[in-house]
Parts: sequence; C-alpha cells; structure tokens
Amino acid sequence: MTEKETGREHTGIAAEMKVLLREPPLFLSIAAVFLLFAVFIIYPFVKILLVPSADDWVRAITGKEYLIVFAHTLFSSLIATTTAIVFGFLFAYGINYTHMPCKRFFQVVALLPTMAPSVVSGLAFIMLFGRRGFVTWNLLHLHVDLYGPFGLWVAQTIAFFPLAYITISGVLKSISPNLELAAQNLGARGWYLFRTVTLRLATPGLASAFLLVAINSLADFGNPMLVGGNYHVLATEAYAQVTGAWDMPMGATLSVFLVIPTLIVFFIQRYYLEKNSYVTVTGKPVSGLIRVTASPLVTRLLWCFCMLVSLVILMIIGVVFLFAFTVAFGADYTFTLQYFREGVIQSKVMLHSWVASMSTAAITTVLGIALAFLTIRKKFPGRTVMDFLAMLPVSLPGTFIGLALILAFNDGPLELTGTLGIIILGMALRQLPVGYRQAVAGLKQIEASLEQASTNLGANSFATFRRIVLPMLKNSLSVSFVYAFMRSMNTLSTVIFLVSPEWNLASINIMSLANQGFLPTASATAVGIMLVIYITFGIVKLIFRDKINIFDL
Amino acid sequence: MTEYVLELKNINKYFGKNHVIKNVSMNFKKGDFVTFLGPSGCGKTTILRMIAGFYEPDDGEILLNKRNIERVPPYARNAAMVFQEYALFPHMNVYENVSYGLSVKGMGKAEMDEKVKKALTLMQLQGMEARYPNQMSGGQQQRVAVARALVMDPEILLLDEPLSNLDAKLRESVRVELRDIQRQMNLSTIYVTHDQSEALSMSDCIVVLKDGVVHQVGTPQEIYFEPKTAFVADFIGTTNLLAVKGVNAHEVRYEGVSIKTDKTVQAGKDYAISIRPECIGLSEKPVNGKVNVKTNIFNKMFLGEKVRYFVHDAAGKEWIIDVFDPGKKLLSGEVYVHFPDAKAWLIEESLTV
Repeated sequence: MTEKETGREHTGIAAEMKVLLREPPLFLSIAAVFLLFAVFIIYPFVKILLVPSADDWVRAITGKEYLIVFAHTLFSSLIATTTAIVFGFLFAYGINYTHMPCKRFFQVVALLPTMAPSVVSGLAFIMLFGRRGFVTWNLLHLHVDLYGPFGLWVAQTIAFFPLAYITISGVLKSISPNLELAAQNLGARGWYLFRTVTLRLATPGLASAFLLVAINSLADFGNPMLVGGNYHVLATEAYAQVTGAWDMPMGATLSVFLVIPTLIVFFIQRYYLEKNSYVTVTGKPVSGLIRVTASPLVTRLLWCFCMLVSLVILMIIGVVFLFAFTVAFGADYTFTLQYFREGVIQSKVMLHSWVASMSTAAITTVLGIALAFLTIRKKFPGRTVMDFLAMLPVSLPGTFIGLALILAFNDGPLELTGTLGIIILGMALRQLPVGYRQAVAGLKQIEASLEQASTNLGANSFATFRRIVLPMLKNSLSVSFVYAFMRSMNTLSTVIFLVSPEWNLASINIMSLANQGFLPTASATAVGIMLVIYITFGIVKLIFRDKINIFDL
Repeated sequence: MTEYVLELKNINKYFGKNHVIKNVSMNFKKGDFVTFLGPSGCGKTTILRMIAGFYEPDDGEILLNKRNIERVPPYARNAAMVFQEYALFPHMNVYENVSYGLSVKGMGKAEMDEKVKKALTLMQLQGMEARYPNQMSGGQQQRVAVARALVMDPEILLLDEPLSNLDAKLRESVRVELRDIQRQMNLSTIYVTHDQSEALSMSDCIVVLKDGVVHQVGTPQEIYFEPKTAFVADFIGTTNLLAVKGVNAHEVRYEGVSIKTDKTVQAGKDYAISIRPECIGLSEKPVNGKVNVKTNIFNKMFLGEKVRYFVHDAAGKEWIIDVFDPGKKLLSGEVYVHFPDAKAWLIEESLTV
C-alpha cells in the first residue's frame, strides 16, 4: 500500500534521480555499492565465463565422461534431497503437530549438525562404515566398500536433514491452526485431514524447501570428496581438473555447468513459488491452541522416528569426539589430548579460520543492513538490480565463487590470490545474502512511518539510520552475525580454491587430514571448530545481552 | 418441560494457573439465538471452543441434545462453527470449501450438489462456486464461511465474532440476514461478540460474562433495563450508577435524597442504583412527585436527535442525561435532574469495593 503510494509520488527515473541528488551522501553510498558489486561480483563472474574457449565448451558438452559427472550430480543430489526432505518433514510434523515427549531434546539435537562443519557427516561415515570403519570392520568384521553413491547418499541425507527440518518447520508453523480446527469442526480427521488440508497447504513451502536443499546438495563439495570414492560430481570434478590436471578452463567450464541447475532452481523458487504461497492468506495463529491431529499410534511412530534420527545425529557427533580424544578408537581406548593439541592448539589454521570468519561476519552484517536500508527504504534507479546482485550468491555453488575469484584476482591491480583477503572475500560473497535477507526481514517489520517521523523532526537519512533503525534491528543483526560466523567457520566448497599453504583453514584441514587417513586429528579439528563456535556464541551473547537463541534460528 | 439443545453443567477451565471459566452452568432452548457478550478475555470464546471440542473442560459436563459429549472428539460433534477470521481453506474454491464437510461424510455427488446449491442460494452466493477465497471480498468470504457451516445441518451453530472483520455498514445488513436465516431454519445458535448493539439487536437471550463468571442471563430487555450487577449496567449502554444506602424496607437514600423501590432492602446496607440517561429529565426548578437532585451543567453535546448533558451534583458525581427532541435552546448552569422512582433500578451490590 505505502509502496504504491510513494511510487505514485515519484515515478520515473528522472524523478528518482532528483530525489537522490538532494542527498549527496546517499548518492555517493549507492554509487560505492554499485562499484563494489561491479568489481567483486560482476567482474569475477564474467571473467569465469570468458576463461574457457569455444573448444572447451564443446569438449565439455560432447565429452561422455563429463556428461556422466553431470548425471551423477543430478542423481545423487535428487535422492539425497528427497530423503532429507522426507525425514525433515516427518521430524517437523512430529514437533509441530503432536504432544510427544522429549520435544525440546529433539529440537536441540536436530540443529546440532548445523553447528558442525559440513563434512562431519562424511567424516563420521568413514569412521563408522568406512573400509576400517568402527561398525563395519571392528564390530561386524566386514570387508565392504560403501564409498560411492550409497555412502554419498547417506552422508548427504544426514548433512542436509537439519536444513530441511528448519525450513519445513517454518512452513508448518505458518499454517494457521484455525484451518485445521475448521476442518475438524466439519468432521475431518486423521489421514483425510492431513491429506486435504495440512499437506495441501504445506505443498508450496515444501517445494520451496526441496529446492533450497537441492541447491545445497548440488553444490556440496566436502561429502562427495570424502565418501564419493570414484563417483565424481561436478564440484569435485572441477576441483580435480584444476588441481590435478591443471586444466583451469575445464574446471571453469564444469563450474559454470554446476551453476545452470542451481540458477534454474533459484529462479523457480524466487519468482514462482513465493508468489504461489498460501500461507500469507491465512489468519493469525491462535495462542494457546495446539493442534493435535495425529492419533496416538501415529504420535508413537513419529516419536520413534524422531528418537532414531536424534540417536544417529548424536552417534555422529559422538564418534567424532571419541576419535578425537582416544589414542586409536576401536583398538586403544586410552584418553589422550595429543590430537586436540595437534589439530587445534598447535595449529595456526584454527586462528586463521576464526579471523576470516569474524571479519566475514562483521562485513556481511554491516553491508547487509546498509544494502537492505537502501533497497527497502530508498527509491533510486537500479534498486532491483542491487537487490538481485545481493541475493545472487545464495544460488551459486561455493566452488564456482572460489574459482571465479582466483581467476579474476590472480594478477593485475587487485592481485589477491594467496592472501587472507581473497578468503574473506569469498566467504563474504557467500554469506552476504544471509545478512541481507535478515536485515530486509527486520526492516520490513519496522514501520516506515517511524523513519518518516524522524526525518520530519529534522534528521537526515544517516542520522535516522543510526539512531532509529539500527537500535531496533539489534536482534536480527546479532542473529545474522552469529549465523555468518558459523557458516564461514564450517564452509569448505567456497574456500577450497582460495586457501594457500600460508593461509590455510580449519575446515579444509579436516578434509585433507581425513583424505590422508589422519582421522583422529581431523576429528579433533572438527571438535575444535565446534568449540570455537560455541565459545564465540557465548561471547556475542554476553556482549549484546539479548535473547538470541541459536536453537531458534 | 422445555427441550434443551445444550446444557452446560458447572464448567471450569484452567489455563495453567489461570482460572478462566468459573463454575458456568446454563441451558439453551432449541431454536434460540443466544449471545455470549463480554469484554475481551472474559472467557466467551473459550466456552465456545469447549462446545466445539477444541478445549476440554477441566471440570463439569456438556450435554448436546442430552448426550454427554465429553469423550466425543471435535470431528464427531455436529456443532459447526464460523471462525472469526473465517478460516476458509485458501487452496479450495467456494464449492470445495462448502462441500468439504459433506464429502468427509462420504455423501453422494448429486445430494451434495443440491445441498451446496441450497446453502449458496441462501447466502446469495450463486455463481461464485469456482472462486477462490483470495478473489473475494471480506463480506463474501464471511458468507462462504456461514454457508460452509449451514450445509452441515448442525445441531447447534457456533459463531465466533463473525462480523468483527466487516465494516460498519456491511455488519448491520449481515446482522439482519443472519438472524433471518437463523429464524427460517429454526437453528439453535450461539453467537460470541463484544459488541453490545449486536447482542441487543439479534438475540433471544444474552449471557453477559466477565472474568469467566456469568453475570446475567436474560432477554435483551432484561439485560438493558434490569441489570443484576453494576458491571452489566455499565457494560451495556450508558448508565448512571449511584452508590446508595438502605433506609427502610422500600427506600434508599442518595446524598440526602430519598428514592423508593419495589424491592425489599435492609437499613444501613450499601446498594447501587442504575438510571439510564434517557430516563432522566432536566429542569430549572424541582419537579413534584419525582426524585430531584440539584446539579451543575459542565459540558453538553448536541447530537441531532438529542442533547447529551454532563452534570456534576454536590457530591462531585458526574451524571449523563440525554434530552430528546431538544429544540434550539440549550440549558446551562444550575439545573435539577429528575426521574420517577420506577426508573431507578436497584442493584443488590455495593459500589464501594
């Protein structure tokens, strides 16, 4: 409504420019943002498209081995996404639609993996079910090789379950309980009620969640690297081409290929599903009214399922701890701090990771809020372009971003390859959409009239921003800070091309240590990352003294 | 013996430590339009939800057509409800919404078509079968919600503030329509509202609630003219409440002025008197045969059909007096308010808490 009204006042680029020129600082900051975007987003992505020659494109499209890799990527991502979504749905349904016991426990456990490096599920898979895995070798004495599509499927399902659960839980929460009460009032129950109302209303949200998980599993690098074996996917194949065959153009080509499905998915989600969602039509939820539509039997089955999933997650985290703190788990169970010392205390990588992630969190939080303030509250030519560019990296695979950056900043005036700067740049690009989206959501909750009141009382845009908007956004800012920090500590695919012997990172170290067979040290490093994240959360909480609950993210 | 469609017996409900419904008992006659009236948080919606089965009473019995429905789940009670926000299924069109309850029952297509058509005609929604809720106005959505409930032939129809999302004009016309349909179908109805004019204009019977306690059950006229508690007197319409003391069997005293009453009172005990603004006259001199109180006009509002005067008496108590057909000349300064003893309604309750 207000959007339309203000839109009617100043229509056309000329009118918008006029308003803009009245406030030079605003004009300058918009220009600065566009310059930043041009150099750090548009330029690298154009560059990576120009690196492969026509010949490379033809080779990639006609080469049978690359088509197989392409098919592998789609297939493995499709099945892992499907199982993650099904598990996530059952879990979320149990939490939101039943009175089952141990709910709080389930909720906390389901989110634990988001605080651990993404390769932890792959790492745990190796340690439990690998060639010398604790379950397969020590307990069952089997000589099996589960590496390949099956192992990848299991590892990715577990790795992406939390994301599926969080997203679907949000979808189910947004369905007005009134609708289900109305259906019950009209005589519907059980499976019929679920099928005709709950499931139908959740479908657009479920599709959206499916695509979100699909983007992430398509781009996943760590799990295919660790447990994929000879089953190559685009992300790992691009890496192999660059680091193994020194074929930079082919690496670039394959990375671009990986972008195609993720971009398609991104556009479907952004421009189709969001417009076809029912959840906005429904009324406000009724407080104190918990919808119980599941029968006791179904509740019991869901409880068993949630318990099983929780135990698997605890087993994964548990086995990482056990490997980290015993001399040789499976053979010698003596407690030791040796690996922890090697992987965490004596290793510089943890410090590097922390510095890079902290910088990233600070940059993306500040930039995110500044961008959101501009795109939501200000009218200027190119507003939608700015919004698009700020959200674009969310759909881009980390390997693509990393490769684009080293190609773009390998030489010339901005030679960043091999520095801490390029690592932070990569992480910041990856996390920018998160910070931006958080800030947009926060800003939309603040009535524009508050800012208009401030302007009316004589404050300019910047004074208004600093004294009115910023204090009101404190909570959503600390959430996006913490989240960007956590994701950057754990990221692997974005930084795999960006690290150098001088500037290595803890998450990369886990993977290389695991690949070389140093499982205890890899586990200790993973434990170290989790501890660093927890301690940092604690510090942020103390500083901001607010009620951020990482389990409610 | 009267046929009761619904009986509530000593209902109690707690939300945690909050005692939200306190010992509520009442009976509903078949075909009556009963309104639960009270400020927000008085428990009216909670009682409605207990009848629908969305909450369980912690104590007491609910009988629907003589059948105890304590163990009957919501989907098996034939008590169709119209929700405050309508709760139309956004993914279904009008036909699918209205036929939902019938198709749950497994009714045949032909019979279902006929029933839906009848309900839609009744609600003047013919030709809108294929529309989706988001393509309709608030008023139309509201009609669909009513049609969806009517089509179920409910034993009792529950309406939870169904008009609160409509604008004032629409509200008035829908009010009349709803009441017409309810009469035609002889449908036992419970209507929840916090709007007293809705309650007064539509109901056969009004239940006034506050803090989970039933203050009064009665016809609109009883509620308005013979309030049992000071709260009812004050909540319904505008009134003047006077703190009085019993003098002898049929007389109370307010600031030295004697008021006679039909009721029996005890000497020395505190009571309250309620007099409606329209029952009071103003004059420059005391009027013989009426109760007279000397006051001072401090504000007045010309409202067209009447003038509303605000006056203070010697004790500093503010009175509101409505003078109808006022003419051009307005009173000012010192005046006497006067009313016949019969217009002073005695409430057996002390105003000083």
